[in-house]
Amino acid sequence: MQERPSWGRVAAVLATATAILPPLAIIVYQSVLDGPFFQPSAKLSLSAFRFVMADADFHRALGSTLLVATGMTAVAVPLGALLAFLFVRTDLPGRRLLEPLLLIPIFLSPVVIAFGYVVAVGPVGFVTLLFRETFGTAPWNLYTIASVTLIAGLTHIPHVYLYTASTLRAMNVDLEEAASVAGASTARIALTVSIPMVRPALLYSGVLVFFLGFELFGLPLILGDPEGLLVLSTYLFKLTNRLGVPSYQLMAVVAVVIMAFAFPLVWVQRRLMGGAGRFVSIRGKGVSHAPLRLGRWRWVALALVLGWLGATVVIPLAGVFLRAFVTNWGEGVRLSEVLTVGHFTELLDYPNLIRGVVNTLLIGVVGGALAVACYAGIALAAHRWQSRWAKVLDYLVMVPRGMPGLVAGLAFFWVFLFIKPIAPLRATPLSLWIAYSVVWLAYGMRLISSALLQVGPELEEAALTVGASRGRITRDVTVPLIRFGLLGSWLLVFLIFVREYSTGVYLLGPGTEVIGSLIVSLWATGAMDTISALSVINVVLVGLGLLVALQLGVRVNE
Amino acid sequence: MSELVVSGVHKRLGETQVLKGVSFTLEKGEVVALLGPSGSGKTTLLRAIAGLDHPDAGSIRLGDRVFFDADARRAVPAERRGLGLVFQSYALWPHRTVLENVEYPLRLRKDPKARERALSVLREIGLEGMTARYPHELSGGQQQRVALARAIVYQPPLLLLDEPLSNLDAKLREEARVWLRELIGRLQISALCVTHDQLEALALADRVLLLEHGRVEQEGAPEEIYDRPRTLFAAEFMGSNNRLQGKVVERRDGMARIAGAGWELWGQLRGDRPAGSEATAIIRLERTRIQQSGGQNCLAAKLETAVYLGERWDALFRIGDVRVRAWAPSAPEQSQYFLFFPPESLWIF
Amino acid sequence: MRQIKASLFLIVLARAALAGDRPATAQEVIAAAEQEGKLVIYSTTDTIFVGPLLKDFNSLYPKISVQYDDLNSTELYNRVIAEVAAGNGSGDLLWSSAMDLQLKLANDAYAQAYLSPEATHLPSWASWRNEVYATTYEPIVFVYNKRLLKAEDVPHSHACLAKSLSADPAKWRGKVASYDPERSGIGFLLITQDSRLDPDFAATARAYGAAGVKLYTSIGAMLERIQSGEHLLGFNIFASYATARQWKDPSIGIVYPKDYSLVMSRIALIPRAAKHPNAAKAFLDYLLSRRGQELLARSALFSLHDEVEGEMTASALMKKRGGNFKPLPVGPSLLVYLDQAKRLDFLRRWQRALGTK
Repeated sequence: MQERPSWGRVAAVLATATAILPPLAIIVYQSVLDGPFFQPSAKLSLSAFRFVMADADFHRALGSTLLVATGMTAVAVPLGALLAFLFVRTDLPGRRLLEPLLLIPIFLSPVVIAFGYVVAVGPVGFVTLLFRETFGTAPWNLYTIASVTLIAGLTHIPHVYLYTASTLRAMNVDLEEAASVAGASTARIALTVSIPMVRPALLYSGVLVFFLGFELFGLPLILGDPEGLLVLSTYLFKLTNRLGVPSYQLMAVVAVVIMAFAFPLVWVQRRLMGGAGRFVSIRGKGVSHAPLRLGRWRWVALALVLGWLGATVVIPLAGVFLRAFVTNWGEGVRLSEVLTVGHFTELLDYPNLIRGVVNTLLIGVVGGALAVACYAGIALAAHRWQSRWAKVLDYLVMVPRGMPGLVAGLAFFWVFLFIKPIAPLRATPLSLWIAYSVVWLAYGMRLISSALLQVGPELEEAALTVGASRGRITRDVTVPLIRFGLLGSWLLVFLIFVREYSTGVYLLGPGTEVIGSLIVSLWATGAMDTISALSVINVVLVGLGLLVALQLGVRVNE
Repeated sequence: MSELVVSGVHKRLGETQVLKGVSFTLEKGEVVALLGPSGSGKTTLLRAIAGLDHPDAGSIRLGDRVFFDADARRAVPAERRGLGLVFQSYALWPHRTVLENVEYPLRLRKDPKARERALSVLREIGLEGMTARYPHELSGGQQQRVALARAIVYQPPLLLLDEPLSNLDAKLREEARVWLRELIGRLQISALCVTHDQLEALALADRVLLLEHGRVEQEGAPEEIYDRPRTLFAAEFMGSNNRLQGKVVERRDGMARIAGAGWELWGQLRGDRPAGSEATAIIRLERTRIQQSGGQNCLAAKLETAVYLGERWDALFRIGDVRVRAWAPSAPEQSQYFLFFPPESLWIF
Repeated sequence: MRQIKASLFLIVLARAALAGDRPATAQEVIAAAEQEGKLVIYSTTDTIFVGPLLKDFNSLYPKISVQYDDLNSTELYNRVIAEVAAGNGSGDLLWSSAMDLQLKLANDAYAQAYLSPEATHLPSWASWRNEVYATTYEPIVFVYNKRLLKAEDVPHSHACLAKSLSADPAKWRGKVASYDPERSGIGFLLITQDSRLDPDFAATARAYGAAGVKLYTSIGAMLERIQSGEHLLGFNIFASYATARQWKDPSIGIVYPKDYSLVMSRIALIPRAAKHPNAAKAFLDYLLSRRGQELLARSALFSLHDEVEGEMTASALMKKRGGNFKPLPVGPSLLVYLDQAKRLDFLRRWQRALGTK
C-alpha cells in the first residue's frame, strides 16, 4: 500500500520511545559516571568501563553466558518447532490435555525449577539415589555448564512453542495439502512446507530466547554456584559485593554491554527474514484445517513428547512436590518417614499469602491483557510501514530486556523516583505494570508481529477499495485475522508476568506483593520447604487455569 | 464525456521504470481490457487507477472527479474513490460469511437496507443458497462470484478486474467468460479488465489495450488487434502463429518478398523494412493451409508429427531447417505436403 | 560482660513493675508519635519472624499504623540512598542485618541521633553515637548433617575444623559449604572477622581450599544441601536460621565453635529523612525493651536484653556454651573493609589462599 505520513503510526513510535527511553537513558548515563548519578560528587568518567573490561571475571562470565545462550537456543528452537507442529497440525493423541503441561516451565520461578532438579537428580536427589541403588552409579552431573545449558534450553521450549503454534494455527493449509497431494509424507511436509512457512516465528523466538540467555539468573545461581560457574547476572552479584557498596556504574556497564548485543541480534534476524511477503499465508482463499495424519509415527511422536515433558516438567516438579511434603530429604533419609503437610499449614500463617496470589493473578490476567493491547497497537503501527521509523522501532523494542533483572529493578525505581511528574505513580500498581510491560515489550509484540506477517495485503486492500478507512480496516479485517497471535501473546505475557519479580522489586509494597516476592523473602531465610509448598499451590492454580483457558480457547476457535 | 481518462502515467518501482507514459480513455458502459505479458505494467496501472499505489507523473480522472494529478499534487486515497475491484486472489475475508463479505461495503456506507441489497445481488449472481457459508467452504468459481458481488453491491461507476479468469480451471473459464460478459452487459457498468490471456481479453472487451514494457503498443477493438496488428509484438502476442525469419528481397505496392534458406514467399509489408534488411514473417496458424499440391506462395513441407486436439489436428512440419505448424481437420496421412501461405495473411515486420 | 550499673538495675526493675512492662519511651515522644499516626519500617527481617512483634507493638500503640517493607540488605541500602537524594523522604526505621552498610549510612550522615532510654540495658558494644543500635544477638555457628557425620567427627572449633580438613581432604572434598565472600556481603564480613580472630587464618583458608569448599550466596541453598547430605558441614551460618530449621528438621546439628563464636546483630537506625521520627523512636524503644526482646527471643532471634530470660538469650547462651562469644562491635571498625582498595586486596589474598588464583 502506498506510503503516507501517518500521524497515528508516528505517535505510536513516540509513545513507545517515551516509555522505553527513560530507564535506558538512566542506565547509560550511569555507566559513564564514577558514582551514583544522584550524588552531586559523581563525575563523567570511563573508569567503570575500564574496570569491567579489565576484569577477568567479566570476560569469563560473558563467555559462559554466550555459550549457554547459544546452546539453549539450539536446543529450544528445533524442539519447540517440532512440538508446535505435533500439537497444532497433527493428530497426536492426547494433545488437548498435554498442552497446558507444556507451558509450565514459563511461569514457574527458575529458582524453584532449579531446586526441583536438585531434589530430583542432584548428587543426592531421590532419582539419583534410586539409580545408584539399582545400577551402582548415576552417570550424570547436574552442576555443569552443559546441564545448565540443556535445562535452560528445555525450559525455554514453551516460548518457541507459543510463537510457532499461533503462527501454525493461523496458517493457510492449502500449501501443506498441495504437498500432501503430491505424495509427501507428514515428515516431509513438516520439514519442507510447514516449518519454512513459520520461519518468522522461529527467527523471532530464536532471537528472543537467545537474548533471554543473558538474563538467566535462577538456574545458574542454583546449579552453578557450587562449581563457580559465572554468568553475567551472577557476575553482577559479584560486582555488588566486590566493592562493598553497590556500585551502580559497574552494574550499568554490564547492562550496557548486554543491551548492545540487541543490535546485532536484530540485524541478523532482519536479514534472515528477508522479504516478508514470502510468509503470507492468509490470502482469502480459505481452506479447512484437517490435521495431518501421523500414521505409525503417532506413538513415536507421543513418546517424544512425553519424554520431553518428563525431563522438563515432571522431573523438576516431582522434586518440588516432594520437597513440599517432606521435612527433609537426601542421603540417608527414608522418604516414607518424613512426610508432612506442615509446610502448607505454615504457609497459611503468612499474612499476605492470599493477597499475594490474587495480586499475581490480577497482574497476569488484567495487566497482561492491557499490555497485549499496547503491544498490538505498536505492532499494528509498524505493520506494512516502509520507513526508517519502523526500523528504529524494530531495534528499540529489544533493548529493554538487555537490562538484567537486578539492573532493571533499579532503573525503574529511579525513573519513578527522580522524574517528578510521574513520581506519584510509584505507589500505584500502574508503575509496576509499566515496568513489566516495557521490559517484556519485544516478547509480547513479536508474537503479534509474526501473526501480522501472515495476513495477505490484498485482504486489507480489498477493504480499502470498498471504502473502509484505515481505522476500520484494522478493526474489521486485520485484528480478527490475528486473533491467534493476540491470544498467544496474552498467554505468554500472562505466564511471564505471573513469574516476574526483580523488575518491580522497588515498586512493590505492602498491599501489592506477588508470589515472586514471597518466594524471594522465603528464599532469604532458607525456607526451601515453604517455597516448595507455595510453588505447588502456584502450579496447581495456574495449571488448572490454563487447562480451562485452553479448552475454552480451543473450542471457540475451531 | 469519457468516464475514465488516464493521461501520461509514469511509475517507477525500485530500479525499474514500470510505466513509461500510458494514456487511454474509457467511455461509460465500455469494457476495456489491458492485455500484456507479465512485466508489462498492467497490474501496476490497475492499482494506480484503484488508488492502491500512486504514480510518479500523469493524471487519472473519472468523470469530473480528479483522482490523481501529479502536477497539482492531488491524490485521492483508495477508500474514497468508490471503485469496485475484484482481486486475482479474490481476497475474501475468511473470518466472515459470504453475506457478511458482500454487505460490508454497504454497512460502511451506513445503508439501512444493506442486508436486502446484498441478498439481491447474491441472488442475481446465483449464490443465494450460500449466504451463510464461509469462503473456504466454496469452490473457486463460487468464490470469484462472491468477490464480484462484493465489488458491485455498492454500484460503483467503474469495475476493475485483475485477471478475473486466471484462477479458474479451463472448463470453468469458458463458462465464466460468457457469464461475466453477460453480467457486465446486464448491469451496464463500465469495466477495466487486466489480463495476460488474450482469449479473455478478446471475449470480454469492447476495446483492447495492448501493453508492453510500460507502454501502449496498440489500441483498438478486438478484431482490429487480432486481424490488423501494427507491430511484430502485437502480431505475435495474439493468436497462435508461425514465425519465419528471412531477408526482404523485393518490395512492391505494399507487398514484399521475403526469402530465407531455401524458401521464398510474398506477404503484406507491415513494418517499414527496406529491401535487403532482415525481417520476420508472421502468419496465424489457422491461415496456414495444408495442400496436396504446390502453387503460388507454397512451400514443400515434410510432416514430422501431428497432435490430436479433439476438434482438430495440430501438425508440425519441417521446411528445410524451419519448423512450421498448421491445423488439419483430420489426421494427416502422407509424409509430404505443401503448405500455402496466403500473401495477405503473411505479415512481414 | 554486661556492664550494668547496680543503681540503674534497681530503677529499671521498679519502673518495669510500675509501668506494666511498657518500653521506657518518654511521654512527649509517645504523644508526638501518635500524632504522626504512621510508621514505615524498611527491614531485612522476614515478615514471618516479626509477625508477633508487630502485633504486640500495635496493641501498645493502636494509633500508629505500621507499614513493614521487607527487603534484602542491598535493596534496603539502594532504596534509602536514592530516596534521600530525591528528597521525598524515606523509611522511618531501617532495620538491617548488613552491619557494615548500616554503619556506612550512619557514617555518611544519613542517621539521626536518639538516646533510647532502653539503651541502658544494652551491652556497651551495641550502639554507636546513639545513631545505630544492635537489636539482636545472633551467633555464627557450624551446621552439620547429623545423619552422615558421626558425633566424634564433628569439629568443635575453627582450629579443629582446619585440622580435620587438612588431615583427610578426601573425606571432606566438596562436602563443606559457606558463604562466598566475593559475592555475598555478609559472607565477606564474616570472613574478614575470621581473619581477625583466627590466629592462623591463612592456614585455615588453605585448608578450606584443599577441601574444595563450595561457596554460596544464599543461606537457603546451603542449608538445603547440608540437610540433604550433599554437604556434610557448613561454617559461618547464622544460628537463628539454623535453629529455626532445626525445629522442623532434627537431622540438622549445630556447633558453637569453642575457640571463638562471632556474634552478628541486626542494626536499627532512624534516618534523618524520616517522616515520622517519633513513631520510629517509639518502635526503636520497643525493639530494645524487655517486652520486645522477649518476643524476639521466641522467634529464634536471640535477645540482647539483659533482663530477658530463657533459652534464646545472650546470657543463657553464655552460660550454656561457655565459650568465647565475640560480638562484632557496632562502630567504625565495621567500615574498614568498605574501603575498596583494602577490600580488593583482602579478596585477592583470600583467593590465593584458597588456591584458586
